[in-house]
Amino acid sequence: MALLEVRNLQTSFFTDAGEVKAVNGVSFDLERGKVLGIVGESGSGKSVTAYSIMQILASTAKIKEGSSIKLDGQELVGSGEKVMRTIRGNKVAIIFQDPMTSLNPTYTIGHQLMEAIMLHTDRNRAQAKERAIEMLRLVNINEPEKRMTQYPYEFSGGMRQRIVIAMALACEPDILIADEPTTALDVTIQAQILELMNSLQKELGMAIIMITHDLGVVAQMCDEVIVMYAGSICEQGTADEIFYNPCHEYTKGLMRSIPTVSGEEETLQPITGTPIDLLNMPTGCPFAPRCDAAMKICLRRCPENMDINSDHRAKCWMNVKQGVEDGSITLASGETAEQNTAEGGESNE
Amino acid sequence: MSDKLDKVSAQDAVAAPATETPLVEVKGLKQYFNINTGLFKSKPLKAVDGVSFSIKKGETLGLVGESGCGKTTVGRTLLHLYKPTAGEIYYNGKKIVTKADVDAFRKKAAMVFQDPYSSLNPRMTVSDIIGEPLDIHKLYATKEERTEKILELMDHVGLNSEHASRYAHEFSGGQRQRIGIARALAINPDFIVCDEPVSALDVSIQAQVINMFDELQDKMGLSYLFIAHDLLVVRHISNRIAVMYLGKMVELADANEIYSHPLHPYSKALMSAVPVPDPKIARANQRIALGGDIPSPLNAPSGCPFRTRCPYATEQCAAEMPEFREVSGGHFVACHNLDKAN
Repeated sequence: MALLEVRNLQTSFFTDAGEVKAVNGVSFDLERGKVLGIVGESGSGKSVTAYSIMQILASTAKIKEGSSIKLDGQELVGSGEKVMRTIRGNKVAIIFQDPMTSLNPTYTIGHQLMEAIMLHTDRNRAQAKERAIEMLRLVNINEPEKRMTQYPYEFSGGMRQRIVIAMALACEPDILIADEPTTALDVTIQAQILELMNSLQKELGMAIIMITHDLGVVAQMCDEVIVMYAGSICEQGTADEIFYNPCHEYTKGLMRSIPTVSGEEETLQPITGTPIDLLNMPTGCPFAPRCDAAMKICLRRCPENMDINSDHRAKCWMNVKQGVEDGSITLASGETAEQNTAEGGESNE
Repeated sequence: MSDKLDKVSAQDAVAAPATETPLVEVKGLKQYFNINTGLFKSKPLKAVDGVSFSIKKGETLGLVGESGCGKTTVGRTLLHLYKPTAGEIYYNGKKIVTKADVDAFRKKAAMVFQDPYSSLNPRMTVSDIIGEPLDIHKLYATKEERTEKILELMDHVGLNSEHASRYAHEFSGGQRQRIGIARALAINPDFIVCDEPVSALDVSIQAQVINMFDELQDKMGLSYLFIAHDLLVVRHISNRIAVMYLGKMVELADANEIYSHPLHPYSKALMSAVPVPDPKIARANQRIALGGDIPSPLNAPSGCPFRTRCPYATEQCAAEMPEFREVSGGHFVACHNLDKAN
């Protein structure tokens, strides 16, 4: 059994303008000790997925019925605030993009660290202080005893993020959710933080969910990758599969739109158009309006999740088309037959 | 190390650089801000401390460095948005001294800002935003000509002309950045300072805007000073790249050269820290970890600013700032210990 099992997660925001399906049927597993990357553009639902796991959503948002989030076999959806309080910080911890806003500017670092420790464990003040200093040392803060009495403004951005990580790890969570942890930081500081997260992950054996839009960070950190677009997963698989064998047009587009490592003089191939308006979702594949390879069926029907191989799944009609062309998919049921005729019509045009 | 350098310089000696007048040249630019440290006390913050470079016509110079290194200040001071504390700025070989010089320079030099949200006035329509530089520099004779120019500019940057009467908030980030670029193009400039123009955009939109910068350069022969912290993007768009650290320029070289053979210990660490979007390379990548943080520019270290984090620092580094010297054709570095570092 996987450590975290998310099944058909649907989170919607109910606004005056209508229902915004920010997360629309997301399913994935997270194994112990693995790093899972969630990539996608702003508004693709990657942060809302994380907040749904923690249940720290805005009051206008609701996790809809039929969603399931199981942590170690325990169902979290609908479990109530009391149960969630034992989960948050203890079993699942989260760190946010901007370390300044996640620290209280009016309390010392020591106070905030100790508060988290005393809240979640039965350590007394002295023990909590000891633990806090130990954690600061773990994240490479020099002179931790002295630093305990300082306020957040006295630290640089990278150090603040390290303190937030120390706070998140103080109770030895099973899962650390990192929501764009290095986006606000400079590259050399980013390298420090990623290195730190990597070594701590190995040392403590926790699982990490890494939310980012930076494919470079994903390549460096993650074992498995989920690519999200318009609230649903369009492709998921191991990092190598996603980077070297992308099977969804959106993922392919993302890979083409970033400058390559070799730095050869080539024009970038951007994805045309703009991200979709979640209030006006199309009936078919959400990426179809921006997709260069879109076929008729893409606009009409949402593609099913399809196994590319044992480590790789994608939701794209192109794979069905390819499968039919090279004969690996046969017209088994009436369902697929209908799809294929629809496609056949398209390719004849 | 010396082998490598000799080889490079031999190559460059063959292809002798043309000695044309650079479009924009900066010599010893300094920009200090006075920071109040007490009731009657103040202290200079040396945001830019003696930076020199030149940009040829049609060239893109990338400027990289971490936050607080002064790269944005260089761009702003260059356009006299701040009055330089010291240093000389030349445009087409002519030194900019008087107010009239500045005005003339600004007719040919524009700026694109990082944040497409705060850099557009929410109370102005798109046509007013793009038309404002035309109004200021009186670049039209009749009202019809103004409208025509605005629509032409919108077309240039791929904006629908029907959107001319809309307000900035009705557009997405990428489209807003296009409005900002159209505004910069309004004066028909030779030179544009691009201050992190794509940092706030999503990856897929980022590529659209980068391609547009490329196309405009080809079409209009523009020169860019491209300030950014995303090194892969900078390398893609730039001919040459300058690396800044704490107000000083530490290295300047051809874009691919600085990426594949950085010489300064800071550039080396910076290049190795770039997250590479390729899992196999990323896993094998030996990152040079820099300890500590960038010091405050208010208490900059003596001598070489990087010495507090540099693994090769010696007493000499604390005593004097290394000279920014050319080690091979077009490759400038400021470091005392190049032999040790390479």
